[in-house]
Amino acid sequence: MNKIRRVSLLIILPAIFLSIFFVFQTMIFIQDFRQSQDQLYVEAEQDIKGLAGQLQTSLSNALMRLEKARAQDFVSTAALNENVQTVAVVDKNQQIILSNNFREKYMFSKLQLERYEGAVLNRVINDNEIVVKYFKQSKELVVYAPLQMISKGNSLNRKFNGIIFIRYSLESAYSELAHSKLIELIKQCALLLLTVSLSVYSLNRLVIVPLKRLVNEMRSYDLTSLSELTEKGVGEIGFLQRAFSELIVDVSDNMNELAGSEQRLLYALRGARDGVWDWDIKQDQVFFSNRWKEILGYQPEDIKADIIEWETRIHEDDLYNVFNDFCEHFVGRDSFFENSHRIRCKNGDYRWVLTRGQTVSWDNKGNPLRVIGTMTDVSAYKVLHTSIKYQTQYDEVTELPNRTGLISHISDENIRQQNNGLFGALIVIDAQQFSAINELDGNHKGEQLLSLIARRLEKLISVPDYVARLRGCEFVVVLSDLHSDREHAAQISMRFAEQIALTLKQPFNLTSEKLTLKFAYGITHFPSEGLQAEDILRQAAMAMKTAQDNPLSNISFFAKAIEEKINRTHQLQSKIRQGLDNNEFTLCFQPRTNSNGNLVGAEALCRWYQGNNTWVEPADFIPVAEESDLIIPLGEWVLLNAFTQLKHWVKTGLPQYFKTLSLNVSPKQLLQDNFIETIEQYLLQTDVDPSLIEIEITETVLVSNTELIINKLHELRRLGFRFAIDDFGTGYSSFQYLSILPVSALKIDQSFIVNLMQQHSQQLIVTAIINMGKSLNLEVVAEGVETQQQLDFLIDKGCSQFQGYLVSAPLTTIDFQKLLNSRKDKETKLQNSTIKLEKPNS
Amino acid sequence: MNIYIDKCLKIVSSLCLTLFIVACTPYQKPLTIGAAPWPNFEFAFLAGELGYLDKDKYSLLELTSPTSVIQAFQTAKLDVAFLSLDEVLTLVALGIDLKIVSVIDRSRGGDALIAKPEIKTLEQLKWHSIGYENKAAGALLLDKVFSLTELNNQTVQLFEVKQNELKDAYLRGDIDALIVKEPVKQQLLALGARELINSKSLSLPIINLMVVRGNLDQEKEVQITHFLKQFYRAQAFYEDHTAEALASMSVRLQLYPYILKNAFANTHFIPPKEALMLLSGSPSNMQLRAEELSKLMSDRRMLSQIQTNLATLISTRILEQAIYE
Repeated sequence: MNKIRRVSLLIILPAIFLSIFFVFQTMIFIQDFRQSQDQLYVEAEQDIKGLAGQLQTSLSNALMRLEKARAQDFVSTAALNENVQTVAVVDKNQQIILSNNFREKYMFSKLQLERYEGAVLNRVINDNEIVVKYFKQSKELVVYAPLQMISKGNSLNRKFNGIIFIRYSLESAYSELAHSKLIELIKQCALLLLTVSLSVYSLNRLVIVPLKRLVNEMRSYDLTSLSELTEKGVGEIGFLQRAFSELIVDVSDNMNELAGSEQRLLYALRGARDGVWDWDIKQDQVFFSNRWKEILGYQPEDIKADIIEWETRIHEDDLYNVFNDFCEHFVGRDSFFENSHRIRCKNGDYRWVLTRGQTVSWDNKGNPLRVIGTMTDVSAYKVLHTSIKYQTQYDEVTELPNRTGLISHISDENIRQQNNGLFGALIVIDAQQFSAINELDGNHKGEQLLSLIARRLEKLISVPDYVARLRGCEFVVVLSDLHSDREHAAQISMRFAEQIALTLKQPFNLTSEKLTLKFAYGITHFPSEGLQAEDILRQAAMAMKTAQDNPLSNISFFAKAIEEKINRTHQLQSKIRQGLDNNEFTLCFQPRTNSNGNLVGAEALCRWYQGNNTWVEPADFIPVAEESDLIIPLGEWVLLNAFTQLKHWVKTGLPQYFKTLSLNVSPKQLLQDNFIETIEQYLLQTDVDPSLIEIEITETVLVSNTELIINKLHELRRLGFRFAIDDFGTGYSSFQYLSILPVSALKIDQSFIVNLMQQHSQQLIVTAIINMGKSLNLEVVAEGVETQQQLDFLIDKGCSQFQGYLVSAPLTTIDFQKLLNSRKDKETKLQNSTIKLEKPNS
Repeated sequence: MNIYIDKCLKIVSSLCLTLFIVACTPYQKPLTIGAAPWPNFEFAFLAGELGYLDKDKYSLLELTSPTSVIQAFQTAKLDVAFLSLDEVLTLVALGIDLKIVSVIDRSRGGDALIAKPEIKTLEQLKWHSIGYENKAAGALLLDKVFSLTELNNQTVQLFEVKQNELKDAYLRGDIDALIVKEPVKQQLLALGARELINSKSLSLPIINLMVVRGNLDQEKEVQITHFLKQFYRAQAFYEDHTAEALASMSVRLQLYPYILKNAFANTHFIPPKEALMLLSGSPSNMQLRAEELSKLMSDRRMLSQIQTNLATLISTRILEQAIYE
């Protein structure tokens, strides 16, 4: 095939042309020859018939006059026609009378005359017709013509008594025809050959020679010293030569550029101290640069060009990743091949190297043929990287993986579980009190506690489970390969969470004390469609929050409902903002009385009317506002409106015993830097008497930032405000703080009151709180008093003030105004009656 | 690559040359040979009969009279013709391009004036009719008769009759005397005719020749040479196997062999080498004879003035080849 391709166009083109010509010409020749043959036959037939007719007349005349010699002369002369083989006159007795061959005369015609058929004689004589026969094989025409040889006197009737027999051969005529046609063909061919020869000569001069010269010039061209190519070619050859000249200039420029670039690259490679490899995949041969070998501690001649030299040196643990990365690159997922792996050095040690490469040529099916790349020694970097990775992925306090490590692990496990069709679980563990402990007892104690928690968790888990610390006291346990069924996996994870809960429930032995923490557990499962590590962690955290809010169970699964709840919270937050803007919030006032039933104060409560007779419960929106900092503007709104309202009431006149308007302040509000300034501003704005105002704070406010809170409370106290501890008994209380804080009242949480008459323990607690209040000289206010029995019990134990539905449900401003008015009227009447009573006495 | 091109060029050149040669070669038709009945001319037909000649290459045309031969040669129906010198000169005078390639024989009584049996002398021919073919032989014999007697063309009645028709004319009784050639002479003698004078008494001999067309190509010349060889070969066969040859030849001429033998006796066959001698030389013997005969014929207005140099009519090459190759 290659030999054929190497044959000159000078041969191929004429050969094709000649072949086509010969095929067509042969077809035309055969066709033409056949036509001419047919034509010749027709002419011969006419010729022989004419000859027969001529002889009929001349011979008949001569023979009837008995001029036999003359008749013979006619016969002989007729036979001069080169195609006439035999001319004979045969009488009715089949005897040859005359013949061009004298020997045949007076012989029996059937024996002497070739192609003669005796039977035809009678037919010709009787029917007076000329019979023509053609012998195809011998290419002979035979004519039988009737002949009158004897005169019948005066009779007009012709009497045929002989025939003229003519044998006419077409062979010579056909041969001559073939010869002439052949000569014609040969002349055409010769002319064609001459034309082709001239064409070949021209082709050679105009195309082949310039092309050969161009090829030779190109072969021997030295790009380093530019010299001009011959550009004398005609037409397209000239264009080609010019195109090559331009190409050479371009190539030369590019080569110079490339040489510069190569030099720079070489310099860069030397500078980078990278090894270079060039892998011919088809041959499985690799070129390794000296530096490549040097990195491994070898001399240039130590390593051959076989791929085995490389493959066998890669650490077996890294081999899969290397192949995998190559595959990823070859299938086009990665535009570059890049892999860090260990490679065995001459001394047997492994060294970390970073190998990068890119495919530079492909076959027509898209398979890679050649890959070139570098190898960088990254051992030092790897050590550093490992250390940094450890630092970035591990928590120093607990020595557990941190959030970064956790996320990475969850990502890996998420993929792994997707692949093996099993479910895993993520358990987020948090202790709410931890931050308070940290604040209260210092970081050292907190860290000690975290470490203890970590150790307990570590003991519980086994491979492939995983534990990490997120932040604060938030720990995460990742359980892998639980079960292929989600339900079963949930059960296993639940049991595991219970096991953890049991372990963590045990008191922690700190240096100075034993501490028991209340943990909440949020569980979620993975893999879940479309979820990334962050999403899974977020779900578990949500579940944990739910568990924190759930008084019945400290373990919660993430469910769709939780997510929906969170979404609702978000919606609620935006509605709160709208509500503040639209002035949808209003204040209610729940009266507080003393044991005598006198109205001693009221608690301002915030209510939200969304319109269309829709009231939103404070229990629904206050926690949402707390979470989202909306509590700040809401709290400020409450403060300002309560101040304004109180001022109004003061102006209109308050009942005699009415000394307190309680306002709830959230811890976040209290921690606001400008809280004091805001209060002072409102005081100035409303000119209200701060001694009438009691700020309710919860115990939890004291858990963190205690000092700051205490300072702020003192400042507020200096302004004239009083303080009450709200929901006393439910949170973290320290008697020490009670003595320090400028508190004037304690409010017993209604959870103690609601089952007061049914549970003896509640009665004991309430009694203790009342006694403590008394001891500290504090007002004790019972919240949620709903029955007379509760009231009686509380009065009996010495509780001074009461709040609840028994006293009054929260009232609107107007209703409370009416209440105030009625109380004032009542007091006025009582006063009047007392005066009247005194007057008689006095 | 150059080797391929050189090879191709060689092949193409050879092909071109072959084609050129073939293209220049005309189609070879059979060599046509014609002769009227005459004893020594029969060797041509004998050669054919003996199978010395390839029928595809040689076409022997049997003509009845010298006039027919002249006409056929004149109309290019013949490549080779056997004629007497006077007939050849007639053709030359007509401007026909021809070459004398061989001398066949000399009539030694083969041409004769014969008459009815009752005419016993030349003088008795007076007021009788004489049939003759207008050829030199006839003219010479008549001239001789006129010179030997007091007869002239006023005292005899001359009829021009073709050689082949003479016999019929004589038999029909249309003519009293006739100048005939062999073998008709022998036939008539057998029928009782009387020979009054023959070519032996003539001063100018009657010479028979073999002529060919002047414009024949090389290929034809080879064929003629071959034919001439076979002609002499047949003559040699006749010499060696006379009876057998006579039997064969007499069939063609419809004669008895002894009659044919008598006819042969009246001719003098000139062997090829002798013929070559007659044709060779400058001037050759044959040229001198031709000039002499030409003059005679011109004088008798039998022939117009011959413009051609008679030396150019003679070609010895073919005969030389036939003898020596």
